[in-house]
Amino acid sequence: MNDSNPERKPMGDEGDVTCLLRQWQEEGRAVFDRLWPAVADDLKHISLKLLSEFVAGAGPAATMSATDLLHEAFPKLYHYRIGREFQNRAQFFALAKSIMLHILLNYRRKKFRAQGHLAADVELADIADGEALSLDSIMTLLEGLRKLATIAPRQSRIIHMRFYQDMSFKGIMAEMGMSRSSVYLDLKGGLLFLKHYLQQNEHAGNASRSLEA
Amino acid sequence: MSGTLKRERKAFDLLMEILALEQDRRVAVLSEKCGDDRELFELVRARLAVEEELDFSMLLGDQPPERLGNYRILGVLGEGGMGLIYEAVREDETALPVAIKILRRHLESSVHARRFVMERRILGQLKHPHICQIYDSNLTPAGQPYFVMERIRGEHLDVHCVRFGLDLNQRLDLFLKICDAVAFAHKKLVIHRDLKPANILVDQHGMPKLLDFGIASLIDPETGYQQAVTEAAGRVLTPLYASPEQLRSQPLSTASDIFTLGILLCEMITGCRPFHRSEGSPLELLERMNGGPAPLASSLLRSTLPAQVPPWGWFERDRSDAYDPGPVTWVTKLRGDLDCIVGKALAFDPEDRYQSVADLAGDIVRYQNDVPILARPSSWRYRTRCFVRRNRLSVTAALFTTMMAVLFSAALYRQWRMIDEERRINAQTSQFIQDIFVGADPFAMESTDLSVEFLLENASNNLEEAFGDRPEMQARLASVLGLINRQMGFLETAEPLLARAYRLERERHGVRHPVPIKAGMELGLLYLEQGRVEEAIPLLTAAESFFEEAPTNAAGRDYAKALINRGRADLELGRWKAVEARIRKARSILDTIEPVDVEDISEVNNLWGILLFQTNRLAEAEEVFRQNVLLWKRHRGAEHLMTISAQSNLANVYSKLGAYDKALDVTAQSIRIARTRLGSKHPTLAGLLVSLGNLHFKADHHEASRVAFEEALAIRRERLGEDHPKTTTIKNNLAAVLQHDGDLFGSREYYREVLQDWTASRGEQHPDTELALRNLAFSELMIGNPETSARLAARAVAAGAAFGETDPVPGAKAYLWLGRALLESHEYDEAARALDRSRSLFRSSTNHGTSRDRPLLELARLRYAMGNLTESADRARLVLHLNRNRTRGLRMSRANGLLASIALSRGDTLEAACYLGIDTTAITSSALPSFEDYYHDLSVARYLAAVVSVDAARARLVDNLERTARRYGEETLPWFEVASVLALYENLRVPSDLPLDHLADLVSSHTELPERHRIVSRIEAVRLLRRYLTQPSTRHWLALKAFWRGEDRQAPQFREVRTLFQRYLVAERLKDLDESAS
Repeated sequence: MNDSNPERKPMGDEGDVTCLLRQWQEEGRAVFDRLWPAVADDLKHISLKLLSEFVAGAGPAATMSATDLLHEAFPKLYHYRIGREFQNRAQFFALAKSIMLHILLNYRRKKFRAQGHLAADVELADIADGEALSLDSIMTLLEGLRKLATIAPRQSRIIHMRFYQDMSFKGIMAEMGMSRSSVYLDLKGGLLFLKHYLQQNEHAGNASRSLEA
Repeated sequence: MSGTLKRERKAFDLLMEILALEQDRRVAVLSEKCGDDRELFELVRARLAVEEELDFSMLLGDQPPERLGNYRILGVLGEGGMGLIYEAVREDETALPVAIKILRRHLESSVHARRFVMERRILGQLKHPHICQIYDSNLTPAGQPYFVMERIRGEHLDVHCVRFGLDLNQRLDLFLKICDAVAFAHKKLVIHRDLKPANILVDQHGMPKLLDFGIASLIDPETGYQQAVTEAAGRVLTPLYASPEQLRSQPLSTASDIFTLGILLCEMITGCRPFHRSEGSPLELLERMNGGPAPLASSLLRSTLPAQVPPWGWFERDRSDAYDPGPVTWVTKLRGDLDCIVGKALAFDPEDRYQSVADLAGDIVRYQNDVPILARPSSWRYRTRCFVRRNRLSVTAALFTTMMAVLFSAALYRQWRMIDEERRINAQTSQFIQDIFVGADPFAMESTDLSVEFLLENASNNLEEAFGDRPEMQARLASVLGLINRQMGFLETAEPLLARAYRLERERHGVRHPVPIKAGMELGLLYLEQGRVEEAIPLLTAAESFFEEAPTNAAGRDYAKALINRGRADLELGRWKAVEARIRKARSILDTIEPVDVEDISEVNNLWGILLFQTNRLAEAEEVFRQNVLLWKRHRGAEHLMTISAQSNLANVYSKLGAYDKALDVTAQSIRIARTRLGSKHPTLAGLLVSLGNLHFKADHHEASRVAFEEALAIRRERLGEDHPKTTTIKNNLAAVLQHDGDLFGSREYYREVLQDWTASRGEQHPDTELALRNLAFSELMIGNPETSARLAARAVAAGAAFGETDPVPGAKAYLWLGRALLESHEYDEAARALDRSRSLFRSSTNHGTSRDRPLLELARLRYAMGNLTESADRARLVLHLNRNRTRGLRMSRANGLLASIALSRGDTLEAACYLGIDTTAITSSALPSFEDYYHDLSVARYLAAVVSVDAARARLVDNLERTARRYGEETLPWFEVASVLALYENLRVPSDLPLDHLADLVSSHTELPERHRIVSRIEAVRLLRRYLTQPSTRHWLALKAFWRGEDRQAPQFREVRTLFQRYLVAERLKDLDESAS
């Protein structure tokens, strides 16, 4: 079946971002220092806000969609501040989606301690404490994704569909010809791999970076 | 394949295998699979362990389990805010298909859970063939409640009616079944509260099933009303089907469901909901419901017939279908009994409705059997009168086409010479136009959109084909069609037509002849509407001079018209004197002409009113516009386009006078009329929306304002183009809204576009350009670019000099911004000059509404920055004096804040407390003044630092920073101001979300603040001090010393920096520092 051969499909989005991030690193700290806070911190701020609204509002959407994030972040960032640094929207979107995935992987909803909507504040406080999102973290995530692609092409492709192309479960099921539970299982496996990969590799990176700061 | 990759794949496959297992078997199986390979075992186990830390319901959504109890889950049927609905099947020999509703995981402990249980309980009581049955309920292993229901295969009520092409009687039968179910629920003391087509499924046998009792409630048998209304308003009701009681959040009885059944019945038999023909808020809806008896079902149906395909799609069926009685016969069937039945169900007052669902159903059965119904009320005569009135309206509509043809031929008859040839042309013209409208066969069209726009475009395209060999007919028709198009707002279609008419008439009559001259004038007016003033002027001037030279009595009216039209061009260019002169001349001509023509008078009045308005003579403008409204109302009625336009002018005056309620009232009313009469894309609607947006903005409803402007912008972009002056105006308004909403950067983008547009179309020395310069200067200053701001303000000053004589206020404001920008650039002397100039210009203004204290406050801030505290305090107190009659205001806050800062720098905390309104007897958090303005609040924080504690000050500053971010946006001048003061008080504690270096970088890279600026200095001071304290080397000490010796360091605004130094440096060293500084 063609579907089982995902390498044929270019994994363009995040590859593009890797190049961009590399370029930033090579160009020296100046570009990075200027752009990174704008991209990472703003997106982080916005996604945390969205997450908290999602939790509090119990809206109809079952999962956070990176598109929601972009609708909010895009005009603010792209038009007014950093637009010129990206070759195209897709590049910016892919970076934003990587950041979103990273945040989601590190986001953990606590059990409700209070009734009703008040709970959201408690949770927001829990996650807002986290340290600033570093460029290395995103690079690590992208490496993890690449590694996953070689080890488990199908799962990698499904993760890509879900988190980079914002496809719904139904869409993925149709595209892959798989049942809902298999798609779910594949996503779960892929995410476990990524989270584990981040845990293994991120701490080392952070330790070396903290000396620079 | 390398060995590592092979191993990795093996590990991953194992992970997937184990993941599919139940939790408690995993470790055992894993251990077994790995055997001796401990490394593999550890790796997979570590990955599995990560599961604990991931929130999959957030990442992937709630997933259907494989099975629940005795049921195997097949898939997801639907997702609502509260729950998911799964499709499932019972795992026994019955293989019963079911639907399972399960509460969303994160709602388990919320009020929604209580509602969920309630729904389960209610459904359990209702065993009825037309109500969805509940079979079972339980908790999932994870503790989520769920219940198992009948699985219904069917379609929503509305879809079913259309798909199966039910005729009137079939629809009524279906409705009766629904009534049966609702009546049964009522008998069981349950009201549904959310009846709507989407909650009624009809299976292939035509059996309806009521679903979703999610917001149903129980009725108290004693009172007949619902039991205690305690549940949270977590779920919004569906306003489209809500009863008046529901909209007013009153306790409900069965009468509420009866009202909703009335809406449902009306929609089933007419395709329209009675009160929802246009959008509206619940309040407007309520108003409509309360405004009189519900519209008659038959006229609703009739009104949908020619215009559009109704939502329930009468026209979607094959027209050759012999069983379709055709909607036209339906109208007659609805008229009478069914009108009455729907009307009674929809009575506003619950008392006036059917007393029970059974009564409603009974009347329908009576109708079906031709037995007199019970609903015919004594007031039937009134209803009949209503009906006749409505009928008369629709008759008028039907005659529209004929009248239009007659009208146009009459107009042409009056305007052009009465010769036989012309008469023949007129006859043919009207025939052509008649053909456009009468000959249009809705069924012959491919498109169902039978709009006037479509017809006109079609006609314009056919012109060449139909009259290619007859230029005189072509010219006439092009002119008429062009005028209609212009009137309808289709400017782009109108342009080639009017241009063609002009060209053809010139070829036919030569240049100097009234016919081509008038055609040219019409084209010129079109250009004016398109904002092409330069192209309009030659045409309008030609008309003016042509008619001036032939001032016979007959041409007098034409001359007056030409003068008015030429005056409009002057108005666009801001040449007030020229407009006034032309108006006077036109008036004097019109005064001699009998009989008086309403249009002429009103046009000249209108232009006069606009001129008065533009030149700020508001009281006179109000009078002129009010008379114009009366004139049009008397001659053309309240709903005429011209009446609306006159009203909107009046509303503009009200608004400028500050009477927003009055203005909002008038405007909203005009918009309602315009939407129904003109459609949603008409330029007039855009104009009204702009007024509405302005009014909402002035009344501080920013969101409503933005929405109105955005709709208007969309219409104008589509109709007029991106850089049309009217489009630009809206951009300007949107910029203002964003500015007030704290999005200075977004606002700046719009202001930049506006400036670009105005400079291109109006030149530098135009009031609009001048205003754009000032607005952009403001944005740039607030974003932290004082140099750019000063340049723009200086341009505004220069631009304003050209027209400043009539009104000094713009100049005063331009100088004010210039002064503020120079103050932030540390150009103190120049700033003082600009502010003095601003002050004297404000003083010379006769308009008392302007805020003359503005330059005074800036002068006070300037003196403070220069270290002259006495003069600063004098001016700040003068600001307070000028505002003595007000209780609060931005400039009062700021003046108080400044005076408090001055008092604090003298060490007088008591006086500072007075200015800040702090009760010094008991300083608790509740005794502190509430937040007024970031500047004022900085002083509050300073006071707290001096009197209470640094921690208290810090907390206040953190709050201030948040509010400032909301009000002005982050990384703006006010935000930097607060952030830098916060940095001082945070001093050596590293704030997690605002690293000092980051702040310094932001200031240096994003703003143009000079090095000596207080904000830059504050941040630098903290940086140097921190560096010295962490690494106390000589080099760092010297850097600190050099900074301390710098210019201005003794100025009052550095007092905080000094305090900071004092706190951290030993006294001797500080003394040494001070000595060396002096």
